Amino acid sequence: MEANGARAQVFADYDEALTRLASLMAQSKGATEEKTSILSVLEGLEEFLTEEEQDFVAYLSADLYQIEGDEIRLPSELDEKESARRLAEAFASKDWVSVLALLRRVPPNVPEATRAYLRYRAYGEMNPKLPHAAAAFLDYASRTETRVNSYKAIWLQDMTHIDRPSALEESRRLVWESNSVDSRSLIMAASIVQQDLAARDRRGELRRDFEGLLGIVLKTLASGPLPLDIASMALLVATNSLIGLNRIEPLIDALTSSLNRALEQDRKEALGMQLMPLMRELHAHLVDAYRRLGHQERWESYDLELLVRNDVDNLANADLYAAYA
Amino acid sequence: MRGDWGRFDVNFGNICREEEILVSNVSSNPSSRSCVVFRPMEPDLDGAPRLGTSANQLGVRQGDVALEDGLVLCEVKGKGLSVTGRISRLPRALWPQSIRDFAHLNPIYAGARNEILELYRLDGAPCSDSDLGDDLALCMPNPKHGAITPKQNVPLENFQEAIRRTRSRWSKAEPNGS
Repeated sequence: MEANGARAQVFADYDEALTRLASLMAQSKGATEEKTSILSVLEGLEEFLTEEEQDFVAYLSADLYQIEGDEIRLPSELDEKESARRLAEAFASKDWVSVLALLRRVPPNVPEATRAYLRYRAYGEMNPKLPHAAAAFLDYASRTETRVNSYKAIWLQDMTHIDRPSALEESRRLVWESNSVDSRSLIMAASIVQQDLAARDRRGELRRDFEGLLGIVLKTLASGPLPLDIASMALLVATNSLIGLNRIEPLIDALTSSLNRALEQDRKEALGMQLMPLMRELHAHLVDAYRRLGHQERWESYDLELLVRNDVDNLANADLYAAYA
Repeated sequence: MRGDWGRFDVNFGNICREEEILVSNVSSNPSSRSCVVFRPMEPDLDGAPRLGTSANQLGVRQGDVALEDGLVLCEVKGKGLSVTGRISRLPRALWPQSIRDFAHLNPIYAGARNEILELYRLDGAPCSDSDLGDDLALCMPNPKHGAITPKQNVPLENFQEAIRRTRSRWSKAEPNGS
């Protein structure tokens, strides 16, 4: 099966339409004009798929029933321990087809959010990727599992590429309205809101928004030690917010030298130790660190996304192992 | 896309086979063998399929039949009222949501999403070219797709009327004992 441009487009269209249909069906039962229209689109797209591909999207449709709370889970011939072991093995080896197949029959003691997260990874990693379905599973995981809100952070990150308006809308809600968001998701959301403010602010009319955002970020920074990747992102948000406020303060020199030392040592622990006390002082003085540092490429080399994903992957694995421990 | 996507259902070593549900011979006598065929259609208020000439009603559109001199030609392959012997080969978008109840036979049916249609079965249709009542015949060149056609060349309205008369013979497919 070749993933050429036209074929990839068929899958992309199918992915978007089917995910939308699943979302509509989750909201209400019964036929509607929009659902009927989407079914017509799907029927038309099917003509371009092989029988094997048609089977694949049918299974995708079955999997999407998970986010509607109406998934049919069939019994397994294996005991829980063996099926969980195979699932963990397939996940570790990135055998996404097996991951998906096993999830349809995996024992019920694997957490619901973990199952959704694994589907997110599978549909997001396969070729061609199915980004809308993947995002739907991740969104479901983030809503289902409040203990590990990294799911929400990853969802926001993915949605900035898939559906930026939705990512911005949810980010605004988290930043301005939510009282129970975890720090990772909050900082991710703040980053998205800050970028939007920067893009829209031409004459300083959004000053109050920047100040509000800065206050939220600084409060998060001051709330206690944060993982390095979150702290780094928070620093960028705070810095860019200060740029938006046109506030340049002398503390940047101290910040710059501290960061330079840590970066040259290439020790994340050292970087974290250097950053934390400085971040506490940002209440009064943080300035245009990002711009002045001129170390964008080195900063980005820490690959924040990888760190975030690894956290969740480890958690997913922990859940799987716990299932048969 | 990877070729191993065919392995969509792993029942832990036993790949789920495509079952031919409900397509069964009901007699050991080849001359009298009959089949069950299926067609997704809109249900009417009484539960039977809705009569009409839309794509998913009990009736044919002009484009569904082979016409010559105003007559519907009999037993033209692929022309007539479409039916299938294999639910799994229907377009996915036409899979009635109710066939999710068939998922224990094949997990792929768990993905059915059409909330408008019901799956109807017609019992006792002959497996090969022979009578289907007085006026109709079943052309079933393969189990995946077939068509109910007029037994003789007839005007379109006569064909429609003959199809309408089968309405009471269609019943909703059920996962058990169907």
